[in-house]
Amino acid sequence: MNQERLNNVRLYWQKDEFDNVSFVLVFPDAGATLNSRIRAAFEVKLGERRGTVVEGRDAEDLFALYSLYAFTDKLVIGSFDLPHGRKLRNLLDSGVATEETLINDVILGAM
Amino acid sequence: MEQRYKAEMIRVLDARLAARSFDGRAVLLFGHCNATEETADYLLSRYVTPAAILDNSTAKQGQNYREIPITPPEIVRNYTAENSIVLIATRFFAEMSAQLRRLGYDGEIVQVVEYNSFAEYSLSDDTLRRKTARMMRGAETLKNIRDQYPAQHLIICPNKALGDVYWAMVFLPAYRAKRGIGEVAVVVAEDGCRQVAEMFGAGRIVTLSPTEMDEFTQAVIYTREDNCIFAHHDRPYTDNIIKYLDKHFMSFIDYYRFAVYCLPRETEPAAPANLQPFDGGGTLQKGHSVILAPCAKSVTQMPAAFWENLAAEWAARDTKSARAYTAARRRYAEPRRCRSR
Repeated sequence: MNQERLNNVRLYWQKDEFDNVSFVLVFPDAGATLNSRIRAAFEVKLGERRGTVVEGRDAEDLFALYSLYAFTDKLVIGSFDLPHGRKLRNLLDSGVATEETLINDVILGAM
Repeated sequence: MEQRYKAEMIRVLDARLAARSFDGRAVLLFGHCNATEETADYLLSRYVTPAAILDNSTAKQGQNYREIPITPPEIVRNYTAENSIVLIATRFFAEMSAQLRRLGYDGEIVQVVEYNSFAEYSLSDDTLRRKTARMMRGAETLKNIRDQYPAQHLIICPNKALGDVYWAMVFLPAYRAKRGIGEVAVVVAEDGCRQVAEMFGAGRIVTLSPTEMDEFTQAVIYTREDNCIFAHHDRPYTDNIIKYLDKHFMSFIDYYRFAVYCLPRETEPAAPANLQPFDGGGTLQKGHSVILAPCAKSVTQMPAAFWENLAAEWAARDTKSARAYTAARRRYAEPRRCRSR
């Protein structure tokens, strides 16, 4: 990501006033089958708090910026495998946890 | 607390003391850990008594450290920007300061030690520039490692902690066998971690400084470097798998077996294969000696009496010749023998 694109991501974050919401759910993989389940659980957990969901190109940009450094604690990344380094699927593949547990207690664990 | 961090802590606190930042204000410490205790110790030695230690753990709330009460963070609502200041000595400064802001605290929050270069809740020009430059330095380190080890699977042990590297190494043979991985190169922070990797017979080891390691780790995340694994339980920040432990019990050994390496339940940890014979240093008697290590930088210190009692307990089991030895720097400046009874 070049400096110009980084600046655009920053403007996008500030323009959309994400600072005024409690959590921002980002899907790095638009085609993932889990996305709809994660989104549903997100909305349940959100309750009365304000939250928003970002997908597509905007999600990719936010995701890339988050891979440069953790610029906020509001980002909830809806994936078992991304960002790079995430090993959440290991608990699923080793039979320790179910998808539902991982979604509710880990991906959405900060909510 | 590592000596370099302690030196940084003293520098920051001395500057604040010189500026009289604590005069007439309640000093609140956030996060009860060893670093916070050392911060409290230093402040007390300079006649500043913290009003409270804030902590999210309900297990710690209600206790005290050196008569400083440990309380829920919500008590910051009782303080104003004028009559208080918060000091944070843990590596979760960004997260913890954000929590205090959410609670409505608008006073000064001071980062006593900067451990964590991964998080900074800012999108200022300066922050973006620094973080980009930091990642670029890491990318250069990554390139240098790849020049030396172009095809080897990188086993990245991102934290300077001997125990973390130990657990990363005990399951490495099983991980390699399961994934059909040939040659590996282990990347560690500083010499102590290198020695742990060597205990397991690792031949290709890259030793970085902690700062280089953080930059390198960031570059691996950002560039999505393939053919590697972060062999650690809670780093980097992009892996939030540690949150599983907030609601479910799992032993540390199982955590590395399942969460880090995704190995079958029956996988046994490997023993160190490259241990050097130990002659007892001329004083340790085989079968009659217990080595205590009363120091862990990430947890609060047990009182000295706990270790003395433990030494006495072991001595009582073997009244003729049992000895307990310690090897910690904080309370025991030199390794010493604690003979009991």
